[in-house]
Amino acid sequence: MSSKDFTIKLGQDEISRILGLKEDLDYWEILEDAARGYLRLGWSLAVVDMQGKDLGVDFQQSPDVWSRAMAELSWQEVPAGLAVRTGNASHLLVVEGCRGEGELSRMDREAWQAETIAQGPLGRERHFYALPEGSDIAAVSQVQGMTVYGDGALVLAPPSREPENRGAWRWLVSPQERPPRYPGLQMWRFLREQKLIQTRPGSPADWEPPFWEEIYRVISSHPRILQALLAPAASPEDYYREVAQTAWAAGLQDPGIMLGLLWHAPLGDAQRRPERWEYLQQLAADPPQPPEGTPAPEDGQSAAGLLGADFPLCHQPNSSPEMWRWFFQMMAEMVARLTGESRGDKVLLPPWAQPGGHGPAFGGSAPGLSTLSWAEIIRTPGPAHPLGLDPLKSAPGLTEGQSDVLNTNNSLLMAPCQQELIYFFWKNYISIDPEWAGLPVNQQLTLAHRMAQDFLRH
Amino acid sequence: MQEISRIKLWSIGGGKGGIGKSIFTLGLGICLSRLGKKVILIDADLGGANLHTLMGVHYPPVTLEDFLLKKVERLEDLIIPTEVEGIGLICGADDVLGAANPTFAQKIRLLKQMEGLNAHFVLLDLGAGTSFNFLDFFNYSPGKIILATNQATALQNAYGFIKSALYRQLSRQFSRNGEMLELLFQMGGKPEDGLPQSIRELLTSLRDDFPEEYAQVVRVMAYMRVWLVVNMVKNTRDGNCARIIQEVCRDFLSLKIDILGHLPYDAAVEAAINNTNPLLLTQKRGIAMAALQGIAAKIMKESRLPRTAWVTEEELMDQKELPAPSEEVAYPGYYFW
Repeated sequence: MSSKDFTIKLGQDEISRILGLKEDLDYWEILEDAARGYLRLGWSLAVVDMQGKDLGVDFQQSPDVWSRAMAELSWQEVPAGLAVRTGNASHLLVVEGCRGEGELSRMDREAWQAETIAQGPLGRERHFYALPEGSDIAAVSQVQGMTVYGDGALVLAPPSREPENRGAWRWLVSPQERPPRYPGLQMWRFLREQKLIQTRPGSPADWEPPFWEEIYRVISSHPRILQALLAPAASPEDYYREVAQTAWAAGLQDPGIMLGLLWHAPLGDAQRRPERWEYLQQLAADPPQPPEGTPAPEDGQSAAGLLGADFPLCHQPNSSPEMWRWFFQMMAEMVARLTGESRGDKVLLPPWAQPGGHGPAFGGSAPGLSTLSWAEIIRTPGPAHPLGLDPLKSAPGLTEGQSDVLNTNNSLLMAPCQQELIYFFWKNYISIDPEWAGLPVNQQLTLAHRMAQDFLRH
Repeated sequence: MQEISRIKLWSIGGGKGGIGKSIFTLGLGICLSRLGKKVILIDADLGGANLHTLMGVHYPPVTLEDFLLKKVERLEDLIIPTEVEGIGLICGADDVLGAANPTFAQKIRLLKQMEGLNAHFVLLDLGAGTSFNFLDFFNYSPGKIILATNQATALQNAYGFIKSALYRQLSRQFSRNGEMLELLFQMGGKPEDGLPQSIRELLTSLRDDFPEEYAQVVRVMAYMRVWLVVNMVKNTRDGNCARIIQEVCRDFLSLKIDILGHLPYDAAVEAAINNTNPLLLTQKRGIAMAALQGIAAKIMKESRLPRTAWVTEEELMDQKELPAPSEEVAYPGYYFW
């Protein structure tokens, strides 16, 4: 051989090393980006090795400092991930499990499903809930097929990788899209029964508000309360005051129901802001008086009555089509206001579409709807449901035969996300309205379908 | 013992095309000229010479081809004055070296004249790829700069260029030693066949039984100093890609790579390229030019420092018990000619 014939090529191990280091660098870069996002949410973070040991990156230091610390760790080639300190440190409660296994198979979907969901290897899911103020929760508990993470636990957060290349965590619904909210009542009760959560007396966590159904039964005969619930205000405080004042004027003077009403109020922020709790308590105990000259509350006109003559199945004699149109107009405006955009843009159902967890009301997969545009919802045939669901077929409380009524009844609203809307109206209005609750489910669904149609037409 | 001092000739390579070698060379030249230095840029991009285009020279009157074909006797007669004060340009021509197929003697003549040009700095813009001509230019230059971007392919090519340059140097060193050439050629083969997987393993295998060969390898390594620049950096992490090259070169080649700096992505640079107007670079003090100014200052400093070798043998191996090379270390630019 002569030096002229000498050729060089890269070995497989050299190429693998370069690509491996680059992949690691990219991985740490996205971890860093994720860390910035989580810190903005107020979460307490740590970088942990695959045994879960805290590697000492101090996120309370300036971003430059912790970013450098992460960069140094990246070169040590120690497999590591970004973890969230659950419990009171981040006001987070995390429940991990697999759908259809253990206790989760017995719970309603909406009782278990959080707003913020991460998916990991082998179909495991981590549901991130806001931890109510005044809760103390065990660090890590395994119970009936679930792992519950509380005070002092470190939970790998997306896009961290699991040990031994078992895959990475990813957000199904990220906290930036939908911040964690309180667990559903069913889940909350389960955790308390299992003694995983202790609540301090007098704290928000110690209080269980009434179900929305209970509240709705009381207020459904008072359209002005509904109007107040749906009317945007300049500030959350103004909104709550208006709701409380209207409810009080309508004769709703039970402080417990009033507190529940304020808690569920769709345009409020109580379920996202624990500090609102004290304000609501005060407001419920001492609601503002209506100014003099306010008309007396109307009687005999229920929410069902709002449907009026447009609805052949409605037997309300004094129903008002105008009021019904107003009702949907308000909803449409509210949606537009919430999204800050016009109908051609994104849809965001009211925040109570997936409540602060107090009661199974407003079920359905509103997260799916939230990502779709009006045009997509109205289009026929519609897009596939983002979570791959057939909402009416999988809807709690409905049998397949009952949901099939819609397939034979019309052809307009059959996209999965449109079905979701029908389910939304059925569950949150029709099925719990004293006027309609006694009707056969098929007829209730037809009503819900009409409501959805009218809602979309507006 | 000779000194590596007052480095005049700097080669800019990188293996991959389109990573900004030419614009870097031009920008560096501008920055050095701003520091009051006389600079000559030489376009050795044989596959696609375009440095002259970047400098706004559309039809170069003379090129390297004229020198290699002996139409022009002296290299300095190829220098074209440019719009940028203090910078002269020697244009390349497509595949001129390939067509001329220069012998070593021709390359020596060319390189020696490059070093003898009347300038403080001579910057040699190498083209893409790892042809022997590029590798020889690179190895001959005391100042060796590798340019990369954060792309995995660019990192791979940058490392490939460094490895090829080192092995080319070793193969020239052992051009009359068939056994060593064979061993170098087979390196990285199956470990179960007892073949060394890295330079470190090669040195370890030579140390006891082949001290002379060992000393020659150490000598080549001691003079192989490469500076790295990461171009088109958009964030801190992009800049950290330089460390990938450092790590891989350390592990497989036992080479310590120095980071000369990072060049941020800068739209002003792109405008200068699109407009083929170097004055845009001189007039606009963009972020890339600011970083280049820092690199130029570093090069000025490195060029002045007298030293006998880039690394000591101990540093090379991190093992102080290694035997010292038996003969004096010679200037690496000469021992393969």
